[in-house]
Amino acid sequence: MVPEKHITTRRGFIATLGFGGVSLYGLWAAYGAAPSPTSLLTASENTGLSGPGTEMTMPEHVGMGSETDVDAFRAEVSAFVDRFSEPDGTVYPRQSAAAADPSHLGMAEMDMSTDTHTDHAGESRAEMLGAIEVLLLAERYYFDPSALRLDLGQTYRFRMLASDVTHGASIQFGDGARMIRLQAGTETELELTFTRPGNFLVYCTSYCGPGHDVMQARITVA
Amino acid sequence: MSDTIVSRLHTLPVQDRRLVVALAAAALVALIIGLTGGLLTALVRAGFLSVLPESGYRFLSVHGVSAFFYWLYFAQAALVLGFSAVERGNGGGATGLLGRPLAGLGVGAMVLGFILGLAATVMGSPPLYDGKADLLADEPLTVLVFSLGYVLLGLGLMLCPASAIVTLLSSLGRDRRKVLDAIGFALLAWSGFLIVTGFAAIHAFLPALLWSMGLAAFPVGQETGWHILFHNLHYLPLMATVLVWYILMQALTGARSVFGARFSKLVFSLYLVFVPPTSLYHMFLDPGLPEYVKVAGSALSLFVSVPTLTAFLVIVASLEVHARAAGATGLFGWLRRLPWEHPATTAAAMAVINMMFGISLAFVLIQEKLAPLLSDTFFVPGYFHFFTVGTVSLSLLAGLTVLLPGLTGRALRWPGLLRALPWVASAGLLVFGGAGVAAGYMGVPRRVMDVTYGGEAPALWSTLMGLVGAGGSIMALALLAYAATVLASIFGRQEADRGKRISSIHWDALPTGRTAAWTGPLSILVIAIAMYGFSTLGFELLQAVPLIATGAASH
Repeated sequence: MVPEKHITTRRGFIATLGFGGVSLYGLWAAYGAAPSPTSLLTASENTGLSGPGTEMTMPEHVGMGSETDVDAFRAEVSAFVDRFSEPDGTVYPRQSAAAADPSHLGMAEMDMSTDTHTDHAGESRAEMLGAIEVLLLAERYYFDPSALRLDLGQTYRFRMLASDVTHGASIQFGDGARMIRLQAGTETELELTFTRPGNFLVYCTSYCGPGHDVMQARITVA
Repeated sequence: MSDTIVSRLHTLPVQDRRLVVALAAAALVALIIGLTGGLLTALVRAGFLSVLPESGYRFLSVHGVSAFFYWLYFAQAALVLGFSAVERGNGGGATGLLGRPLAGLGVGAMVLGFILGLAATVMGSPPLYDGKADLLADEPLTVLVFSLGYVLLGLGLMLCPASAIVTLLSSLGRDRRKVLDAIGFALLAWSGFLIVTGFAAIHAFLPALLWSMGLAAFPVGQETGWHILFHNLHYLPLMATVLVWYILMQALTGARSVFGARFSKLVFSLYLVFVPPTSLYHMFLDPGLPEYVKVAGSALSLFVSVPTLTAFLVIVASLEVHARAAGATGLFGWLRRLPWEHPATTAAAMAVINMMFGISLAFVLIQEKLAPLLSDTFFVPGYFHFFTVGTVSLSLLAGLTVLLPGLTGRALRWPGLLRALPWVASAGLLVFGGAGVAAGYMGVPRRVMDVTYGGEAPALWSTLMGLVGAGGSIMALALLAYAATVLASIFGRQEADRGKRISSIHWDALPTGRTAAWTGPLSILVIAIAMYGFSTLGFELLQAVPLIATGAASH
C-alpha cells in the first residue's frame, strides 16, 4: 500500500529534522568536549577536552564566591613586582630557593584543603606542585605588571583580580587566543603553561570605559 | 479576492491604522538612526574614519540602542498590533484593536524611552547598549536617563501586547470561532513573549534607576538581569521572524501549511519550551560558573534551534508542495514560481539564506569548551548580524512592506529598488560576517575601536577589520536606502489598487497526492555540514593554541 503522503511532507519526518542541530553532540563527544553517551550513563567520566588547548577542571582547594580584599591584593602585587623586577622593566617570576627544597615544608602546610590565596605558604605550596605564582592586577586602564617574562613549559599559577569593573586579561597567540574574563572584585585563578616561545599580547576583552583600547600588557615566553 | 490577514488591513478603524503606522514609522526612524551609528562604528573600526575611541563607542552606543532594541521592538509591536487587529476579523467578525488606550500608552512610553535612550548615549560616558551601572557609577544622571528609557520600553512592551491579547481573545466566543487558527495562536504567543521581554527589561533596569534616584542600593546583580533580558532579545525576534514568514506565505501566495494548523501551533509553542532553558551559554566565560553547569548548558543549548528549524521546514515544504502542484518541476524549479515581483519575497528569501549562516555559526558559540577561544571576540557580532540584520531585520522589513500599504492605501515606492537591496545588504553582510568570524577565530576582540594595540597585534587583524568596515558599510547603506524607501512610502501620494491582490500567485487550494519536498531536508543537510565544519575549525584552533590552562576558579 502506497502511503498517502511523501515522506518529506510527513509531520514526523519534519519534526525529526527540526532536531538536526542536536546531532552536533556527537562531534563534541568525539573531541572530548562533552561527556560521551556511555559516560553519561556511568556519570563518572571527566569531560576535559584532550590536547593542549584547555583542561578546564575545578580544583578542590579554592574557595568560591567570596569578595577579595582589593587593597591587600594590590599590596601583594606590589611586593610581587618588587621581588621579580628585571633591569629591562619586565617581571620574571622564578621558583624560590625554599620551594626548590620541599623538605622544609611541614605537614600543616601540605594540607590541600586549606584556602591559600594570600600567604607565602600558599605560594610555596603552588611552587611545590611545580607551579610558580604570578599576580596580575587589572584596573582602568592598565595591567600590573605590564610586562611578564616566563619560561617555556613551566606551569604558572596566575592569580588575577579586576579591582574596579569587569575586565578581560586575554592572551593572543597569533592565530588564536585564550579569552579570560575577570569579574570585578573577585580573584580568578588559572594555571597556565606556555608551550611555544614568543611575545604574546595581553589585552582587555571586556569593555571597561573610553580608555579600553589602550589596556594591554605583554608576556614574553622563552 | 480571497480573505487573508493582509486583505483585511484596510477594514481597520482609522485610529488603529494611525497608531500602527506611527509605530512602524518610529521603527523605521530607529532603524535609520541605528544604521547610521553602525555605519560610523564600522568605519572607525576599519580605520577609515579617524576619531577618538570615545566617539567610536558613542557611535556603537547609538547603534546598539537604536537598532538592537528600539527598531526590533517598535517593529514587532507594530506588526503584532496590526495583524492582531485584523486577525480579530478572521471568520467574518469586526476588525480593530480592543484596549486601544493601552496600546496608545504603550507606544507613547516606548517613544519616550527611545528619546531618553538616545539622550543617554551623548550625555556622559558611552553606555553601549547594556548601560552597565558599574561603568557609570560616577554618572548617576546618565544611569537615570538610560535606565528610565529601558524601563519605559519594558512598560510599552507590556501594554501594547496586552491590547493585542485582548483583541485576539475577543474573536473567540459561542457565536464565533472556538479556537484560534495558527496565525492567531502565534500572535497570541508572540504577544505573551513580548510581555515577558518587557518584564525582563524592567527587572534588569529598575534597580539601576532606583539607585540613580537615591532610592536603593547599588545594583550589584544587574548582570544577571541583563543576561535574562539579553537571551530574550536573541530568540524572541526569531519567533517574530518565522511568524512573518508564515503570514507572508499566505498573503503572497495563498498557500497554507500542508501539515495543518495544529502542527504549526505546536511548532510555535516550541519556543516556549526550548528558549528559556538554553540561556546558560552567554555566561560560559564567567570563571565562577561550575563545570557541570557549563556541560548541562551546552547540551541544553543544542535544542535552541529546534523551533526555528521546524517552522522553516513547515514553510518551505508547504511552498514547495503548492508550487509543484501548480506545475513546477526540477529540484529547485519551484523557487521560480514564487512571487518575486513583490519586494517582500526577496527580503524573506535572503532572510532564509542568512538564517542558515547564522544557525551554523551559533552552534559554535554554544559549546562551552570553545568559549575561551571565541567569547568576547568579534566572532560574536560576526555571527549575530546574520541573525539580527540578515534574518530578523530583513523579515521585519518584509512584513512592513505588506503591512504598511495595506494600512495606508499607498503603494510602495520604487519596488524595483526594494527587490534589489536585500541582495546588496546580504552581500555586504557576507563580507562583514565572514571577515568578522575569521577575526573572532583569531582573537580580535569585540567592542574595541583600534585593534592595532600600538603595533603589538597581528597585522591581519587590521586587514580583517578593513573588510568588516567595507562589508558593514555596504550592508548599512543598502538597509538605510530600504528603510528610507519604506518610510517614504508611508507619506507618498501614490494610491494602491485596493481590489488588486498583492501578488500574481493564487495557490488557494490545498494540494493532494504524494508530492515530494526535498528543499527543506537538503537545507538542513547544508546547515549540518556547515555547523560541523565551523565547530571542527574551532576545536582544531583551540587545540593549536600553545597554552595549557587548568583550574579556572574564582574566589
